[in-house]
Amino acid sequence: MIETILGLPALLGGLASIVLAGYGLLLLLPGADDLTPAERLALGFGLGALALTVWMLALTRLQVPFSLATVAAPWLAPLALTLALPSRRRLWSRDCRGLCSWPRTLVQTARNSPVPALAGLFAALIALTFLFATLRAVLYPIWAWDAIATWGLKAKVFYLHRALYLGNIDAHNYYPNLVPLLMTYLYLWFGGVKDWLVQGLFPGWGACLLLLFASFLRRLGVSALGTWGACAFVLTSGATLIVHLYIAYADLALTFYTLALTGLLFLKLKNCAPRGSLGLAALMGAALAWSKYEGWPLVLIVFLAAFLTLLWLRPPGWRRHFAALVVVLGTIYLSTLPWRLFVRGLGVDVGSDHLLGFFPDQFLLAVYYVGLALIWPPYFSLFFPAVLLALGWQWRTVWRSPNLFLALFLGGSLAATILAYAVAPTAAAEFPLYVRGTVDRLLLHVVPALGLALAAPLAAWLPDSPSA
Amino acid sequence: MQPPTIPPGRRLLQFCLGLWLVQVAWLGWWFAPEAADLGRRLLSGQVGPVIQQQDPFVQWLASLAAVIPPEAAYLFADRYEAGKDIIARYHLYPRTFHRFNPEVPPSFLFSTIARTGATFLIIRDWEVPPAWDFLADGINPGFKAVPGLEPAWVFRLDPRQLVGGYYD
Repeated sequence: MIETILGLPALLGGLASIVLAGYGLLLLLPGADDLTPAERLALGFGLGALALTVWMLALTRLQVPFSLATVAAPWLAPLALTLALPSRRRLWSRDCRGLCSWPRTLVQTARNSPVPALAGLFAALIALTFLFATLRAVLYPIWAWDAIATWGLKAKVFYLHRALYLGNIDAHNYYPNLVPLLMTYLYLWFGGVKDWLVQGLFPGWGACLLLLFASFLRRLGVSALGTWGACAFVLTSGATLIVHLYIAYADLALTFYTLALTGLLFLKLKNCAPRGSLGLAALMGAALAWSKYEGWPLVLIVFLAAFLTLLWLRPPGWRRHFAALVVVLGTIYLSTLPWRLFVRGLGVDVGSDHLLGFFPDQFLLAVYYVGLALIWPPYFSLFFPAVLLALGWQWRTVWRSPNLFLALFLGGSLAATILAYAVAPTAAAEFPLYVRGTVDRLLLHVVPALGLALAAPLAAWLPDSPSA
Repeated sequence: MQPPTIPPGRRLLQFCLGLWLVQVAWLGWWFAPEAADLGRRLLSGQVGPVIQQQDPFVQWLASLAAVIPPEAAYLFADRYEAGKDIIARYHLYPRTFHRFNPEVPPSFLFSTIARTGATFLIIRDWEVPPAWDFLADGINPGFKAVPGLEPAWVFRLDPRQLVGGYYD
């Protein structure tokens, strides 16, 4: 217990340094002042995770061993630069003030909402869930299957070798390494492989995910009460998201970046995005592809949905938008090259076994299993029915509005999930177990992003009170 | 005076809210055992590394780590479904791990040893079939049993003294 308590400052320091690394970079991007403090915090965390881990890949190429000085110190430069620029210094002080007055603002918002008791209930649910998940994460050693077999193992190996070393392990070596490298970075803060404390990364990431989701909903016109309700609903619909707040899997990272990319593009299509959102979308897309093997296909699905929406709706200036999206997609593709070249240099097999065949029996079974998973209470409970209801409620307008993007994203991601199962090289007897062990994770990746479909009905049915 | 009418959208929202709150109550029941265990551990202070140290399998791995040098490679004979091999690999790192399916014929063991250069063979939980008697009898000088790690079988391998001499 004492070891855990003594390690908590290092954990908090490590998490804060991730946010600060990204925050410094974010403030240097054009349009940073158009983001809300909550968005700067959440996107700063995501950007920090990307920057630190890509830098660790570069350090490995340069044969410089990982240490706090070599990994974290370079990111002090952009931070110092932001403090030197008066316009960015103002954002600093505004965000620090906002952070300090955050609890008071929350209480005030709850009091001013049309139904304070309901706002209190939503807030209590969110707080209780995060309390449970945080304690569950940092008090138990690493335990879930993939956490031990892949992500946690790699983090330990990278820490012990002070490099992205894959020489004597065989743990899906072609998988991208954002999450294990970030865990390694926290081990540098701890000064050892404390594989219980390191799981504190995940509730922190979950909090940023929820903060970003809430910010996007507010931009879409949802009231404070509606936003709290939607956050509590997404968080506590089924057990999947809660469990991923305390296991060391890469799926929460993938979910965060999918939300960031999809949300920014959706806001862009709705003409309510912050300035510079396409640049940010490119960075979030790069992080998505760097999080997990499924990241790049998800990027393609998101962009396919955006392209089709633009082609169908043809809003004013759609060709310019289309060209800008092509550039963003190209940038994301280019960002995947360093890792691809790195693994090719090591002679690592890149998982082509998944593309060797199409199994019609598996395809039909996958349609059934994925359909069942959408309504299976322990997975996501009421979430997918609610999203379908929300899209159905807008059925007259969905074909003539940017909400089409979310409908296409839903269809595209479900089709891709089913197709992925149809080509999976699994023994027939093991197929049901394989689906049962993975389908909740695959669906989780798109959950908060699809939660944005709830915005329209919530904005219509729960309008903001004038004082909220 | 007419009572105020509730828009149909609001009614649907209220219905969904009620349904969701029932689901939240069910979720509380779902997580109750984990929450109870968490509470117990918090009260007793048995958290973090203590949980690992209490696990008999991890204790056994610690004694195995004392036998296998960090730079060595080992074969871990187990079915992956048991999930023990991944725990062993995690805890025994930096020792190089090679999983070995115990259902293969003995000749495969010899070729795997030659291919991997493993110097230890660990058989965790396995009813040894007759074809593998050469392990139990200690007749093959390439396999030297390491005592004190029961119930598993642990052998120190000497690839130079391995004798096959049969076809299967």
